[in-house]
Amino acid sequence: MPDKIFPRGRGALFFLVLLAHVLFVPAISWPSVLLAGLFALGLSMLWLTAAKRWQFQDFWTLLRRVPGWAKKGIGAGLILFAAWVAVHTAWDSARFLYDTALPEWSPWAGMIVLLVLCWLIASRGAPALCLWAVPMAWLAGGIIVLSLVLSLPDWQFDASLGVFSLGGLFRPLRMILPVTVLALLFTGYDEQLPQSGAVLVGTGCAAVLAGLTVLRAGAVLGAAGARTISYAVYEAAGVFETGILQRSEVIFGAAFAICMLARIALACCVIRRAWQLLRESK
Amino acid sequence: MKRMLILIVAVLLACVGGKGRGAGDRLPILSAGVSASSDGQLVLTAEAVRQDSLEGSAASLYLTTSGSDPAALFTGAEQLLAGQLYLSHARTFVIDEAVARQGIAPLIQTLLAQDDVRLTLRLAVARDVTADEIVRAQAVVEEIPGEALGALLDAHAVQGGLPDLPLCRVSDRILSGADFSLPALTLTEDGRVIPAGQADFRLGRMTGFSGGEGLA
Amino acid sequence: MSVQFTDDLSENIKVMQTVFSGDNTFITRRVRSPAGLSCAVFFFDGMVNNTAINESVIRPLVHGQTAGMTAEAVAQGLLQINDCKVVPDTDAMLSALLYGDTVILVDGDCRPIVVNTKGFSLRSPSEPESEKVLRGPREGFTESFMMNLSMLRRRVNDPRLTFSFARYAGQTNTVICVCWMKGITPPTLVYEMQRRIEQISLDGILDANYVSECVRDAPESPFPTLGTTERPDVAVARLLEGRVVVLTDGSPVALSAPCILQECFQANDDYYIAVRQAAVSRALRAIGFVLSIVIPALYVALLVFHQELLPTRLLLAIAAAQKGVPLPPFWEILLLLLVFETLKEAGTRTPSVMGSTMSIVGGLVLGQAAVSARFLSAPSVIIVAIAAVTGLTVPKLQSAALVLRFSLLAAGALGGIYGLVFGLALAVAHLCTLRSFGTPYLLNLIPRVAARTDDTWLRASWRKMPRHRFLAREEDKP
Repeated sequence: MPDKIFPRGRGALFFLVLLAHVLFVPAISWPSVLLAGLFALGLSMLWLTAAKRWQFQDFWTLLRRVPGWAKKGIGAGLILFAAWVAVHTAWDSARFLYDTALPEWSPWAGMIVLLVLCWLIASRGAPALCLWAVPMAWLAGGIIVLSLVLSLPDWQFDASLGVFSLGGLFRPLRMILPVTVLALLFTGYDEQLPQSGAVLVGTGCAAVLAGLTVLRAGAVLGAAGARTISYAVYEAAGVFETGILQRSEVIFGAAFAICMLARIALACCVIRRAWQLLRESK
Repeated sequence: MKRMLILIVAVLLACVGGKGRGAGDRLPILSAGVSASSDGQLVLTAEAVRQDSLEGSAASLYLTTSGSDPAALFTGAEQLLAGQLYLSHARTFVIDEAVARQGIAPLIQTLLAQDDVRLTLRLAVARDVTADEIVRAQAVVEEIPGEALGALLDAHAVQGGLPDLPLCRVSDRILSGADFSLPALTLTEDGRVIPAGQADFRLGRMTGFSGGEGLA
Repeated sequence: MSVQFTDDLSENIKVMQTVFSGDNTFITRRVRSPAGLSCAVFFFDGMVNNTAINESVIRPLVHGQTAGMTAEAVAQGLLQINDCKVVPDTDAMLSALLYGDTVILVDGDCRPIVVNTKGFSLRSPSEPESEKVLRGPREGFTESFMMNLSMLRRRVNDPRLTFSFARYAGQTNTVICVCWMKGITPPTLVYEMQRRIEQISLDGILDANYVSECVRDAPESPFPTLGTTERPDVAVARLLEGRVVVLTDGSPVALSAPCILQECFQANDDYYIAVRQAAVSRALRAIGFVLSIVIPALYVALLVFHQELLPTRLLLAIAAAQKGVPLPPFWEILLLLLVFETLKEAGTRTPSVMGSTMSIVGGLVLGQAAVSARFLSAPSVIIVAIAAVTGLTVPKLQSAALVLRFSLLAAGALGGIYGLVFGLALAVAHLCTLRSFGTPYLLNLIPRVAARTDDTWLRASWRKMPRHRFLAREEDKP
């Protein structure tokens, strides 16, 4: 059986990487976060439509039509872009871990550990990364849904929760778009394994869950309270209890840690593939 | 590469794992209260709990510190303990009437700044007694008074007898400028804690008590 | 070793005696019939069936009516035995002789006759100690190669069952048999197995594990990428699923390929007991494995980094138990796990009569004394005991459980629950890249990734399982 990316794996990867930013967005407006997710969904659909129109399997096969000098430029650009995404996400994640649970680890040390870990995961290639994403998506998604359901009794709705904020849209969009672009590089048109359905489901689920977790933060902490707490989405998860464990925000945080791993690993995967492209075009 | 990784992990373990905390290294605080002293200072009373043997029962210890503002109270308590004031297991925080009338916003901000405080921490106002007396009151059924106090507030919040407003919602009400009420607690003649209506707040300051008349 | 025969029998006898000089088990019997037929019979004492030699070889030769017979004439017209042939290749002749066959040299003919007279002592089939079942067949493979093949043949009454022999490894000249079902097993799989076996370059093969280590994928992975069994019924089930089975002479262990993670959670009697019971047992095994690798790490992570997750009463109880214990939780658990692994290792090699004494002294006395002396805390002993017991539920993954248990413990001690999750993520990433003879290791387990069976984490009913229920094909759609 040759190495191939199954649609479910691709959908799972989209789900994970498009959820990772939720911990870092201010819990100002859940419609904005949902809209940012839907924007990523639209972009993905646009890309898939173009792939079908011009019949390319992914970005890398599309590059075959490009002259060598352009390939080099694109490869170098991609490496820089993906490295920026990887380092940025790793830094955000390490800071989050330092602030919330692991004060023993300086953010610098945490960032290096995360980058090494994700490089190890990415070194197995994009098909393995997508396969890895399937159980990880079930695990992360399961924990997030469980936390949302178990905290339902603590939700309190008021009119201020549903406010759409343009300012609230900017940050999630800034965090979501680069990684959507990276994920789309491995996506295209495949007659045997149609991908649009899985990408639609993965991205859609991520958008909805992102919106719901931000909504939960507002509903639990209050719209005004949520604004003042750093990592409000994470802190709001502290109201749910699982089995013998009380205040399980760490469990909730672990689900997002998986998402962050997926995002950094995806960026590392792009770096490896682009590096390969540079070597090929020499 | 593989040997290097193993070596790094081993060194890290030797550094981190060796210093790892045990369960008994921190004293969990179960309840705390802020009272106002006669000289205008704030006094923090915290109930810590420890258990020395599996056969024995848990025993409560009371720590008291004073300071000019809420932040100084927590700093003082940590200096007293020579470690962290471990509030993660705290379920109740009682506020003196005098402190509540001055405004609880600084206290709430200080509590939220403590990274281990639960957002579900329940706040209550001591009525006709000091917060210190409420925190030190003996429990009837539970062996740990702080647990009993938490259970009492939870039960009444669920039944609707007392306002259901945990720390996170109080912060929201203060920031949004909304009026709100907190449960009021008092002591019976035999020293038991009972609910005593509610304390009403406007713009973060207590305006008065309502309900619960005649209970004490 | 090269042997050259001539037409002179006396010379040939000298050659043979020179080759085996100093070997007291080498027997040479010169036979001369009244009619003038002169032969020499060679065999090894203890390796042959004496009755067969006396009755079917010596007696006909002694009564030979014609002098100057050729080797073919003796083999076809004189010897009264079912399997005898002229073997001009002297290397093959020597190999057969060493393996219990009898060699006959006829005066006037340089070509030896090899007669199948194998008769060495063998262990009779019994239930394998490591693969016991509650219900179902209790026969196990033995060290006898042909007997093992007969056990397979008896169960598969189908001409498509194919055995392909080859002799490998310099000095032991061990026979390895690749078995497969024509039309069911993919030819590429058979070819790949044969290719890998041909590449083995060892000076001897004494057990199937020699072969296993040389032919398996990812030899450094703690997860088994080649299946093993000592039960013919299991080997046959794997053949029917389209896998290749490899039998090694002198070893009761059959290897099978490809091997996937799913089969590590299957027990031998899963398919012989009621479907619901088997499904529950299989789920318990999977849960047991996860608990076994996660529990020590989770305990350390909770105590060191996330005490806020523990209910107050539980935290107080653990604190009380740890009072006076000098070691931090991580070192306590690490030490206990090491002691447990040492005890397990000692128990494996200890004679059964001493085993119960050792388990009492090692487990109960030492554990109780360590807790009483405040050297270790009772919760740590309980945690390691849970990890130990649950780890026994999946014997095929014991090596993986050992590696993962220690790795995740380190990860948990370094990064709490986050470290544990990162460690698990890395382990899953490793599993995602593993393949066994081209088949993804997580086949049938990760939902809908090339799965072609309902028999996954839970056992499916036989009625629901399609005929070809294992190997992934190119046209499989997720």
